[in-house]
Amino acid sequence: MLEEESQLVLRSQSGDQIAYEKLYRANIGKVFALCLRLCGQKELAEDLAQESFIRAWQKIGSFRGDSKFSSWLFRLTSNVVIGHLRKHSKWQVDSLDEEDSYETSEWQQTQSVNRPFGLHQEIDKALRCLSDTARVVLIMHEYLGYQHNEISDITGMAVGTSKTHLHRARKTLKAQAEQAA
Amino acid sequence: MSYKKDSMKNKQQGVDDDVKYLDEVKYLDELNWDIQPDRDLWPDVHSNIRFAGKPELLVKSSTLPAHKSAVQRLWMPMSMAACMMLALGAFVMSSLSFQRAQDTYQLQASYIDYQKSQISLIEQQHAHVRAQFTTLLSGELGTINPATVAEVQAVLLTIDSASLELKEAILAQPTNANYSSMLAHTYQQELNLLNKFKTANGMSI
Repeated sequence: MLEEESQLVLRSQSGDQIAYEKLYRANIGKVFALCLRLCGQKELAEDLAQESFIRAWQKIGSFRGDSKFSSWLFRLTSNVVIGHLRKHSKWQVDSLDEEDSYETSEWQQTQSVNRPFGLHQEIDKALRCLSDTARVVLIMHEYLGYQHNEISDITGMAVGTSKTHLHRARKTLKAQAEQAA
Repeated sequence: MSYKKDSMKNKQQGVDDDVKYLDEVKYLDELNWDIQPDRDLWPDVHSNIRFAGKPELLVKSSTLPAHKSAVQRLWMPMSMAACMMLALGAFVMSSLSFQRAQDTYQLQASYIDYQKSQISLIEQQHAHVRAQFTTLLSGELGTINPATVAEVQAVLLTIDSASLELKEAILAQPTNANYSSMLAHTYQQELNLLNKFKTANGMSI
């Protein structure tokens, strides 16, 4: 039987790396999936998941136990991925007026060989068509359950911009789903 | 301007309506959100954290009531004990320094008393010698050269002036032993002068 998560967290906070490995094993699948969906590339997702767990070890002392450990870890992972996207790709936090913000970027077009495997194909395809910013907003809102003001805090974009990204991302996904149907 | 505002407001309203409609559709729920990576990432994670030591503990003690470490549980009594030790140390140090100051003060006071008694004794002797000389001189005035008498009296006046200044200096700095020595030396010089004068003029006590 797995030890209780809170005990593993406490042991990790006191420097127990064996306990931290158990936390890693229990959460790596979810963290990797989140990284994969946020960045859209398998190798990069592995690097980001690894970086997230290293960062989590450094910051685990600040985990107060107010929420689930996985929620805290997902927020940290989101920050790691967003930080990477900000540095290395097109990251739009300004208000949007042009539909072309949602055209598939050159970077995404060249990543077809790195498509994630075992995912719902059409939704995955639609996710790939979104800009990095829209994809992050959609996942943070729909999967992680963040409100727009929280997304604004994490990403640095205005609340209105976050709403617009979400709206357009949903439209794209809906159109893709209808087309597949 | 107003048109632009209205346009933006209508646009945002349209977005909100669409969001309401699309809220009901949860496409992402269709996806698998637990995917294992191809390779085990733990060895790389472990090699990075191995030498990092213990993570920095930033949690406030109140957030972990049942699992406080020994340090967290004992910090209050340890702090109190440290404060008490510091207070005790400060008290002892201040007592010692007060005692030392008291001793120094007492030593100074006794030294000053000693100096005063010594000066008083010298002055008594000086007054006695001076009175004796004055009496002797008044009896021999007719036989001694008046110029010599005037010269001696001028020297005695100079000695008196110097003695007076030295007494004032002693009052200002009672612990300065140099002034007392100088006063004693001045009186001794006067005594020597008077003895020489008496011998030179055939005077006898």
